[in-house]
Amino acid sequence: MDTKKIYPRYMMIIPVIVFVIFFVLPSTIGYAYAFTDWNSYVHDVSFVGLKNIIEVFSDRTVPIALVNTLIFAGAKTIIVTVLGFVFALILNRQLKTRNAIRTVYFIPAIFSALVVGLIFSALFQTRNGTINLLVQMFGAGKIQWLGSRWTAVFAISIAEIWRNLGYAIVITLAGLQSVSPEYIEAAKIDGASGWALFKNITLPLIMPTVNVNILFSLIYGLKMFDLVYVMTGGGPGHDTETFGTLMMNEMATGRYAQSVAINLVFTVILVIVAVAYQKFSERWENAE
Amino acid sequence: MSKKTKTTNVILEVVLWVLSILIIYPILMVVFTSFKTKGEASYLNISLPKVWMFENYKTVWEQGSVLRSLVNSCVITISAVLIVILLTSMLSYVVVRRNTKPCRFIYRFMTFGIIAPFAALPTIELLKRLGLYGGRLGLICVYSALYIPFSTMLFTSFIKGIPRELDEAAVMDGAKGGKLFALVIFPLLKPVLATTSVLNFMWIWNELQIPMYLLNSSDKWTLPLSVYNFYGQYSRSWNLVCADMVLISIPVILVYIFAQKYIIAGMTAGAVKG
Repeated sequence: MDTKKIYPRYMMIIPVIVFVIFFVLPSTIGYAYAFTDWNSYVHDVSFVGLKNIIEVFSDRTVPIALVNTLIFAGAKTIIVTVLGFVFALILNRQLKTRNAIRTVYFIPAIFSALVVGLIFSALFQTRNGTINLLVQMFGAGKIQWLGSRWTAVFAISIAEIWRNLGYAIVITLAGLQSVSPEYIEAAKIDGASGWALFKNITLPLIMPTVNVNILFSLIYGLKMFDLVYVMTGGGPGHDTETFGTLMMNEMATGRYAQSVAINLVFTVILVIVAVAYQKFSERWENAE
Repeated sequence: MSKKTKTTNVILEVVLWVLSILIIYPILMVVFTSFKTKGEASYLNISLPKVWMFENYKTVWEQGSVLRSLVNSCVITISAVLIVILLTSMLSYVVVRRNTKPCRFIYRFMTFGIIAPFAALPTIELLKRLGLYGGRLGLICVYSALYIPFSTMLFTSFIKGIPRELDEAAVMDGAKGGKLFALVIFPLLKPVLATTSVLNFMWIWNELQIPMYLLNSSDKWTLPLSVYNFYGQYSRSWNLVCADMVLISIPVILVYIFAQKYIIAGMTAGAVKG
């Protein structure tokens, strides 16, 4: 049969054109602006070579943003993956209210990050915030959570974990439920039980699911913007800046080319992290 | 089940419900605070309101121009979702069925779209040149492109499960191309259509960063933008801010209640097969 007529090219080309124009173009040749002196005052843009890229690496705030971004993404990925795993293992048992529990734990994931950011701004508020009331119950003084770097990073991370745990639970639970009971039975007949059963049968079988979970968690963690922007705006000073908020703040002050340069460096970092993780996990799975 | 397992299960179940307070408490706090007076709301706790201030919602509805943003959000989100599912279903279908080298390249190329971050300023510049900057149409186009990759993943894995013999039988009956797709294949895609629509709806509805870059005037704002701005103006009136948060969450909560199984199916398919 003539596949070209049955599956016409236009059905493929229209979507690709939309994707290329509105995503690929700005994400590739659009980065040419990183090598110009484009800002809110200049009308004629001219090339300045690597000046902005060098500035990105020598700028004081970029390393802060890099460290913060890595902390947010790393802490979220590790904690959400581990907790998601533990909760999924519990939910995989024959609990009477399993579906209700799963529904409740997924609720935070449906809210806008904006709403979650506002909720946690309230919880971590210095005066009357629930967290400070708890802290005071234990006899400590009030803490200005969003007023200094590490406490703010902590507060934002808690909010991010709260919002994302549901995803991890649902995905890992699905992975666990797709493990065929026959494997478990066969292993039991061979005398495996408890930890050995888990380590040798369940874990390798759901590793691909967990890996995808980790990869998505990392990518979206690195792209984090809304929560930080709502809770601290990148402040105090530039202390809680991520790449996402830094780009926005640079643009707001009219430093367009610098903003694009940061965007470009950020893209390169993301691609490296994603590709490296995929290679690493492939090797890991093959080694099993 | 042994007696010991049963006891363990009951204990674990109780533990999970106790821990769920960490999820329920903040939500109750927002709901109760939204009905309080400004003074009472500043305590940010979960006591019931002394007087139920239903007029908070009226104030927010008017001051926060909720109706205008609601219309904008609906127009933008629904159009973008429709475009995404139409484009990705066609694309995935042809890519899976042709399965040639260029097709596999297109698929790999799409996964790049999941990794790469949004190129904000270059996109603004592009939209300016196309005369689309600042408006709803430009935003819809950008959303369509940004959300194609993830949906393509879900569609391709689903379409691989539809037997090719179906196409062949339809071709015998004289259907091909767009007709074959629209009449024979598209109806079969219902489950994955539901999943991608619901997921994309939630994500696009909740998006803050992209409209912040791409919409230039307040009469085009989406709901999250209007709430962010409202918070800027009324950050001391937690009762009003909370009422605004409740209002913008109602649509996604409704979607969650009625389409929960599709959300979970989607998360699962994306993770297991992705």
